[in-house]
Amino acid sequence: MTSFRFDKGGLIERQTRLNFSFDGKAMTGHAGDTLASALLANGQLLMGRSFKYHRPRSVVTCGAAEPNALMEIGKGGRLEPNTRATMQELYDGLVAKSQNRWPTLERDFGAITSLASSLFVAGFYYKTFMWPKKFWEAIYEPIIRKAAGLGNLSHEADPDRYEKGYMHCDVLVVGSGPAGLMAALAAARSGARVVVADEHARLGGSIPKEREEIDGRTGTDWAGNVIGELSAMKNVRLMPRTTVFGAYDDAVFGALERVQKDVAEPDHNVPVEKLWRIITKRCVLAAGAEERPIVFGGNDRPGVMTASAMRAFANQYAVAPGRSVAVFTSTDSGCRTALDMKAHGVHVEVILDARKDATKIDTGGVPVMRGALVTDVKGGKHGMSGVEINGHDTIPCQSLAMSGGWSPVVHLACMRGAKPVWNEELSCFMPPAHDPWIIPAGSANGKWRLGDCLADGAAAGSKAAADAGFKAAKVAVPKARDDASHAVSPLWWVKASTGKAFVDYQNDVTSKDLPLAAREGYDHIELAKRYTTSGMATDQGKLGNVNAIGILAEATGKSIAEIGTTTFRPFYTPVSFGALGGQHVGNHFQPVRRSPLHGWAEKLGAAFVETGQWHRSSWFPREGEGWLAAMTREVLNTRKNVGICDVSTLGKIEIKGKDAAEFINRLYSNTFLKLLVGKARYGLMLREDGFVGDDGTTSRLGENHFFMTTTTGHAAQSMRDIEFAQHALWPELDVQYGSVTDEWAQMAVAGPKSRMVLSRVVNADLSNEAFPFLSAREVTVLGHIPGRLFRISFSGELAYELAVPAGFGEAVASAIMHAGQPHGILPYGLEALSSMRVEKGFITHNEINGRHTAGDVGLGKMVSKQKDYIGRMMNEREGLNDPDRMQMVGIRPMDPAKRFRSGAHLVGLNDKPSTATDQGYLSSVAWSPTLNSWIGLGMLKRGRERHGERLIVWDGLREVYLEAEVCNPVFIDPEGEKTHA
Amino acid sequence: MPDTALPVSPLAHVMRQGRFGRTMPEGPGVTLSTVHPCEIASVITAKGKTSALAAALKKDFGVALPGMGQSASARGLMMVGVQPDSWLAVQPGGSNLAARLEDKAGKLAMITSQSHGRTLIRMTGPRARDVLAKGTAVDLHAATFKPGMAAATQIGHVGVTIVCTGADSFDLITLSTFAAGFWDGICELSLEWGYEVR
Amino acid sequence: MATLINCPHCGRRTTDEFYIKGDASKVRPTAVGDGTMDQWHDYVHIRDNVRGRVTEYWHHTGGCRQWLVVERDSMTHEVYGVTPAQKWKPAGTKAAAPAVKAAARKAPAKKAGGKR
Repeated sequence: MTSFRFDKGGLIERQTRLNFSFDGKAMTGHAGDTLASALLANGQLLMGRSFKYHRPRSVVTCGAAEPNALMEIGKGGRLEPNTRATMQELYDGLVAKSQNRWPTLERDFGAITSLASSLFVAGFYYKTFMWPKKFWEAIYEPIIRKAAGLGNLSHEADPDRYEKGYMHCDVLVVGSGPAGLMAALAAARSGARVVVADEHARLGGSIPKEREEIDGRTGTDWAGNVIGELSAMKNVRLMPRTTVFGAYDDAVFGALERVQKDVAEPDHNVPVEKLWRIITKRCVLAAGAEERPIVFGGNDRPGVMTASAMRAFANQYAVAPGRSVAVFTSTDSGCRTALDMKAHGVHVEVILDARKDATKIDTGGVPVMRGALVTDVKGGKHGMSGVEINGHDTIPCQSLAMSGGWSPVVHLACMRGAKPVWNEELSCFMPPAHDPWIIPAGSANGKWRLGDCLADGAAAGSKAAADAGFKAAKVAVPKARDDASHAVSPLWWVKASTGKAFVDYQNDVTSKDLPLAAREGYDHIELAKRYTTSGMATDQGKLGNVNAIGILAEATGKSIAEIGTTTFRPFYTPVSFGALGGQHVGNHFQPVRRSPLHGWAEKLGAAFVETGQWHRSSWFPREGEGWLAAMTREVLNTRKNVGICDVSTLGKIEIKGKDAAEFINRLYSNTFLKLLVGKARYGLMLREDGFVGDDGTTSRLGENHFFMTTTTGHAAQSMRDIEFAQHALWPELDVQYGSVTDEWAQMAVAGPKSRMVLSRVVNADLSNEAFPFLSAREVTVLGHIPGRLFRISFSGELAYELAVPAGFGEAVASAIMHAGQPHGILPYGLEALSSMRVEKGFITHNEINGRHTAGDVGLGKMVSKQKDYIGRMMNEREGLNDPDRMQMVGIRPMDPAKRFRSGAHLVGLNDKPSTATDQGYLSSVAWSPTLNSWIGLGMLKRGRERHGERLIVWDGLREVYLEAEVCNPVFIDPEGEKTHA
Repeated sequence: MPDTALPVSPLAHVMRQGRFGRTMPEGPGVTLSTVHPCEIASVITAKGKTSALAAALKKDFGVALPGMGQSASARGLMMVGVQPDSWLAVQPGGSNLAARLEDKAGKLAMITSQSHGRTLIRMTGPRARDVLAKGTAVDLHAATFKPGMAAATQIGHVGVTIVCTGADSFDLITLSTFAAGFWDGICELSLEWGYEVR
Repeated sequence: MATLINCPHCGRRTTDEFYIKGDASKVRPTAVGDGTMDQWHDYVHIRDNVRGRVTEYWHHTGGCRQWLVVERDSMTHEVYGVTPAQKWKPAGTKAAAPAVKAAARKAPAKKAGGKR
């Protein structure tokens, strides 16, 4: 209970009290607090347990890199695990729970792993759980799975909404610190469209966290003024709470805006998070720099944090981790913490400067011990009591600030594959000059002094605006007090540490693990990362990586530049799945296509089925009927009387032009040049590799006017193929075409009485003489509606397809039902349609699956040798004409009531099912109400010469093993008498 | 017999008039409506006939043939360039548009009625651009996407032609079978600024 | 792959508006029949797996529905150019598109009241 809040100071709103709970304990904080600062104010220094050793942990940073203080936030479906307490804004009613502990944070059972820590060194998974082999699945893996991971998910649906969108600008400024604000100002005054994104709720970057003056006033004052100017400009969009998480090709950036993560009950009209794709011309990368911890014994004790974090907690939030402070530094900037803490009235014990030869700087009278190394930290889970120096002396203190140098936040400059560049002088990895559109500025560009950051930002903003095509405006760079030197001499680890020294807090990687990895051969940085897990999980090594690289360099005798970094990839910080899904969930998961006859079918009680994007009427059940009974009734009625079915989903293409016939003739494998006006023809399209691609009918409505249909499922691809043929293959043809799929409602009217019914609706002579099979004609429907009538049949019955403008579809379908009433008309759905087409041996995409030729499916005669067309030559390949190929056959089970399913294999009567004995498969299966039997279409080796043979239908997945007979795939009316009646 | 005087709008079952979403002091951010019936025809020129078509349209309909990504309007007829040699002709409240075009320009272009195949949604209001930016990557900034401009793009994976018809006014022309789902999606994206359906 | 493509008809668009067919370096043979199988085999099946500059057919499905040829670098993702497919001439190939075949033969007029 050493952490506390100052009586005054900070940028919190002390008059606004916010209630929240942590592990069930009621606490209060103020507006402007983060969860982390509020916990510190409540004396709650202990915030979590570490991943592997379950060591007590507190915050070590004040921002996005926080590896320790991960919490479960929220309740029910809103629960979000692994939330960094340093980034979570406090709100009234916030419920937070610590993670990775059982049963409680105070008494954590898992902490015993710490006692056995010698077992848990790098690679322990691979070493410890090797044998006995069978223990892996049964014992080790379940236990490890249970122990691994951080927070828990709620398993409830997330009640909140998320959205995705696009944003465009000329200059994207990432970060709103001194450099970012100056860059934004310079770019905005130049007239560029500017977006400023900052991951924190409060704009200003480091400014509110430090006590620096700018232009003779407080930094926050200055920043407030600049932010005021920017927010008044129409060409500027300020986006606090927005993390730019990824950099992609062509200057496109991904950003996550947390819109309502600061309230307990979000407004449902507004998304809680928005995922933005920001398309820009230039990006000023002013993301700042991350202070590196120092690797020494006990550097993970609650109370130890980076020097900049301690300053930030004190200056912005008016909290401190303890009443007395020591500073352990290898940089000059660490000394600033001593000055700031002193200013807040916190006793500063000593500055332990690891550098023996550090130049003397102002420490406000705080004693400095040069060449002092912290070797251990004394204390317990609720705080520290002192630090051990050089292995013997102990200096009492309640908190320790550490400063091991600075690492520019280079991530966005490296995500397209470029590696950061080690700078020996600055002791840091610098952003690579790779993408011309990324302009680093400020401390992200290795500028440590405030004045340098302001100037660098202004220059970057001007350059960005000029690059984006604007005349750069002049911006005066404000003065900053900045006489402090910023020397750093890196100290990768304190080798004399007596306690455990952590490199990667989140993954519990210690200073011993990396040399061990190197000794065991994992000395490449990418291998060492995976062997030790250093740099993994939610913080991705933001704090620890450079120290890890430094230690690995020492262990291998290489330079840091030679070791290099691991690969930077999006996301910079975790992004919720909700945001990635955006609005595309539930009903909006994918576009829904609704047939113009949907409402008509709905009124008749249709059950709908999703087929791709379409919702198609599948069957029309009566009271108590299942799909099979309904479908059976529909088929029998259609074959006996008349049925009506929605076929609007077919792809429909209008084709005109001088070369229309020639064009169509090159698309289909059969000939179309001689098709008569007023006639329809079934056509087969091959793919260029010779296999069947699609089928459909094309009707000639005029000399140069055609109407083509494609299958429902392949409509989009066929349209693209047709466009390819015209744009890329035969642009010289004078042909125009366009999809009219949505323009027409199309219905099949089938059955022996269909002519009688349709004659009452359509004003045309439908007699067999006037309108024989495969006729196509424009007609008038119900006296005034223009329609198109085709005599084609997918059911094997006397049948027509009638197309009318979509908006009249329901009316016409209802009129047909009305006219058909005396003849017993019933609607039929997709199930009945499928059954009837299997009964007739018509193919669909079950057979047109990319593996079968026209010859395989019995349509070999439709492949012309007299012309060129798509697939013409490849269809002649030897292998595609092998007599041993599978050919389409009918399959009937010997026991007609025994059901088999498509996908089942066909094997010989006495064969054991295997790949060697496999002779084919069932492609389509249906219950045939006409034959009172399950029937199937199958692809069988040399099938056409095997009608009458018996074989086995084997379905290993469903444990089906049935005897069946091979037969003609046209199960009923093979002569087509009914169709032509 | 059912009434067949008027075609059914693909939005008939999803459109509800009224105010929805967040209540904003300055009023709804977006106002949505549909134009139904609306005569729409696609016009695709025959090889080398573009200038002849432009002349015919100018002479008989008074409207210019705009370039790709542009629109032109005259006497209630709007032509929108959606493909290099392809336009949508749009005439709210007209009749027999395709037939009239066929009559004057049938030899120069393939004229196909799309009055039923396309659905026109009208979106106006100060937040219209923001709503559309949640769906399309086209830069809709007022300085970039000005009245008269058009873009064939996608919103929520549904193809849509966006025509800027005024400062904050847009005509959204989409395929009719997608229209209902598209409408639902647009409404949802409008919730945060409040919307009114007229 | 690039994130933005400059469609010559529509301007700058995101790649998710496009459908990618693949290699555009091959020209469809104009001859069919005996002795042409090798050309066809090459056209349909033979592809280089190029690290560097590639040409591909892209279809602007979510925009102007035009087929385009995108020249890009498979390594750096740089896009060098986007050309309408109609104007595309693969490097090192005969530029001419296949000559127009015999124009569509006239369809026989429909016989009035045809009997069958």
